[in-house]
Amino acid sequence: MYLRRHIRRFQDRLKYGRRKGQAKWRSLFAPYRGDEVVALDIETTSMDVKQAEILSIGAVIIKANRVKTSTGLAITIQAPANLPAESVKVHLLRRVDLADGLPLEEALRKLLEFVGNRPVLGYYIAYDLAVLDKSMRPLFGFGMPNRSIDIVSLFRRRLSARAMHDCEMKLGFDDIAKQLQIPVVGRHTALGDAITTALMYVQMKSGRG
Amino acid sequence: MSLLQNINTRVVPFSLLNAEELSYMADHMDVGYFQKGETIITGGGASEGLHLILKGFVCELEAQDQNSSHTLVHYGVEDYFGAWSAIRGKALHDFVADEETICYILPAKHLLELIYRNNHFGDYFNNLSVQQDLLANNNPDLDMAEFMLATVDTSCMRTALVVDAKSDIEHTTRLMREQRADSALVQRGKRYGMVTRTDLLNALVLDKLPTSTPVKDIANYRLITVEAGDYLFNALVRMTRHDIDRVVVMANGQLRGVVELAEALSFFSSHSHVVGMRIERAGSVEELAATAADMEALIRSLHTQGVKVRFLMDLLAALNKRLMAKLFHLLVPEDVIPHVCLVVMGSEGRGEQITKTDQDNGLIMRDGLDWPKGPEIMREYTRVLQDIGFPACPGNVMVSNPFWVQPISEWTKRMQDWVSLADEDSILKLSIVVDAAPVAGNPALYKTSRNWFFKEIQQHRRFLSAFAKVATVFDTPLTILGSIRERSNGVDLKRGGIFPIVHGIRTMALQYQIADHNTFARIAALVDIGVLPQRMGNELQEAFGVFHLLRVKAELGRLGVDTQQPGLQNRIDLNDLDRLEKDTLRQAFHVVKEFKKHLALRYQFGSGL
Repeated sequence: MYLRRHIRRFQDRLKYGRRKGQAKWRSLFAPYRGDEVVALDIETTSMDVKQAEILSIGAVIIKANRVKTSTGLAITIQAPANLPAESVKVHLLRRVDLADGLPLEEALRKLLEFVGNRPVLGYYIAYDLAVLDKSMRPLFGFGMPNRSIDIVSLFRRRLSARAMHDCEMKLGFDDIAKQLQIPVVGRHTALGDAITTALMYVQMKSGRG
Repeated sequence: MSLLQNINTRVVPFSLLNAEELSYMADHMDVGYFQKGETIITGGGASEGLHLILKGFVCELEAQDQNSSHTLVHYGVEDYFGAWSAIRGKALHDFVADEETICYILPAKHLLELIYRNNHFGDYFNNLSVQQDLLANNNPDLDMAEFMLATVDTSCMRTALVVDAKSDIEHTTRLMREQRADSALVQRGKRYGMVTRTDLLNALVLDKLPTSTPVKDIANYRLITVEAGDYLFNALVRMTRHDIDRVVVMANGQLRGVVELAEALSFFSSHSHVVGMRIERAGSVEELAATAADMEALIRSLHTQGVKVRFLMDLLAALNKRLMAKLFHLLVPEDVIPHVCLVVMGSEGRGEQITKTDQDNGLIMRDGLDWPKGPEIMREYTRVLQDIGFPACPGNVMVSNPFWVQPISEWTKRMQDWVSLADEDSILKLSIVVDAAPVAGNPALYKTSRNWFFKEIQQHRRFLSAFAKVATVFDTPLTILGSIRERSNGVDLKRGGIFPIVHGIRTMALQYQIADHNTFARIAALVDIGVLPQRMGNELQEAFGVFHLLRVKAELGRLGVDTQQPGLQNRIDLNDLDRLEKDTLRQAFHVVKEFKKHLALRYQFGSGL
């Protein structure tokens, strides 16, 4: 899946990064030169990419050891035709809560403007990107153009680097937060999880403890 | 937003914020992560804003020499730091993460916005003198001033109990009791007569009249009245003059109600919003100018009615302050106001003036405020004030002069330089600046720099001594035999009497961190904390009052005649004074002489008297 996304990203870049007329999006495909990262999280109706519909998007910019919560992005999206009871229980987003939501296309447009060509960071980010790509392609013709960083692989690499094979690897979201001693901010809201993920990242990047 | 979940909003200072302010705060906070040992704020450097610890420990360190430092304060979860430094523009000490630390950071810009909306919140970070500031806000003298501006209207008068001519004593007494009235008015044709409780008591007990006597027979028909809309103060003067407890309010010959002494007096403590209603309502510079003209007439009339000088000064200070604030708000864009603070300095800052004196003002700005139109607007401000009748300052201490419009770190740096230089010019400038009082904009900027200066000055005992000595540079105009010495052009009240008191008290206020600006209030505060003997305090206040009274007399008497001549307004001719005044003045000078000796002893310099 990772390889497939890589290839499609490459194709997108060839196609949209150069073609005139699409100037608006061209900068998205330029290589990123800054030092910022965007932590991203989406809440969806299902864990199966094929069935999943986006309910809300949260994103926050990380610069050095700062999480720019003041400019965080929090979008809810108009309720999809089917809103499974299971997802309501997890995210506590009922149909009424999504009533004021944005249309999907506008929400994705906002997300692209917010993220730009910065790398995106997330907890099992591949899933989030797969759902975003799937929703984006029919509307824009391309998927999320960004390089991705997965907090889980960062964490796993860190554990193995410290030769801690003997202890059981716990890779749940809350487990990682706990082991990194990160306070969990607003669990199961897109922005809250994005902020917590951002803090995990900052901690692992700059922390020694 | 979700960030608020992790903030304990039930503890101060965050409990002081309402829901809207809290969400403003949450919306503008970033999260910072610091490693163990990482310096979050460097002493002498800038603080980004208010830091609220979400997790971890932070130490505030005071550097002792190159390599060592000792910990002043530990901050743990839910503690906050850096707010004061952020407003001040520069931190005093290092703040270092003692373990891995995550904190919320509210940038200085937004912190100031929040403080501007909610003053109590801001006072919390200026912890040095929270109580003093709270006290200053409830200054009873200001109430006095505001009280005098209150007018006779429905808020202070009660409906009169009117009985017809046939009512007898019993019936009237019953009605008065039912309606809890202290008096009743008897209508007799078109005239009214007043019956008070005392009248009823006298009639029954002393004159032994039966309870069936009609009240019209015992009523007093020579009513003392005021017109509705007149100053409540006038009603009070009338009551005092006639030694009565109530006056009847009339409007165009119609009875409106009664003002009772007790109720009029209760305005002293409860009334605080009437001042400058017209100033507040003014929507344009022209309307403001009209109000300013009326103010002078008001002061004159109050003076002729025998109002104490001290209250006149308070009243004028309160009015001028409102007027300047209003003008500031008319000219300065709304989004800039939370990031600047207009201060008035010198006598205006102390609130000790009777006629409109020169403009002495300056502007404290937030560090890093981008306001390119500032200089232009400040020039306009000075110009309009001048048009309204505040003469330009000959020393050019005005916001039109860029020297007096500076970011807070520049102000504090400058004051530090003046203190270490301690030459004549520095001392003069400091004397002007330490009397500064905030008038418009965000008072937190002013309080922060003042508190910084209070701390700073403690390390400069030598400076205080040099500063205090200035109080004795002018001779007290007394002869060896103790009578007043007069020069050909009269006695200089300012140099001989007012200045030594103001400056000496100013020095002591600085040393003991008294937040008041007014000399009377400073004296009272110094007596309260026990550094000035009660007797000397009282005498100084009286003497200070005498100098001002005589000065006002001379000034108002001369108003419009030759005030243009510089230096003259502070001189009085002894021949213009009567015996009693001369005697009082002599005694006042003796108080000054005594005080100078006291200063010389306290600050250990030769008295040179």
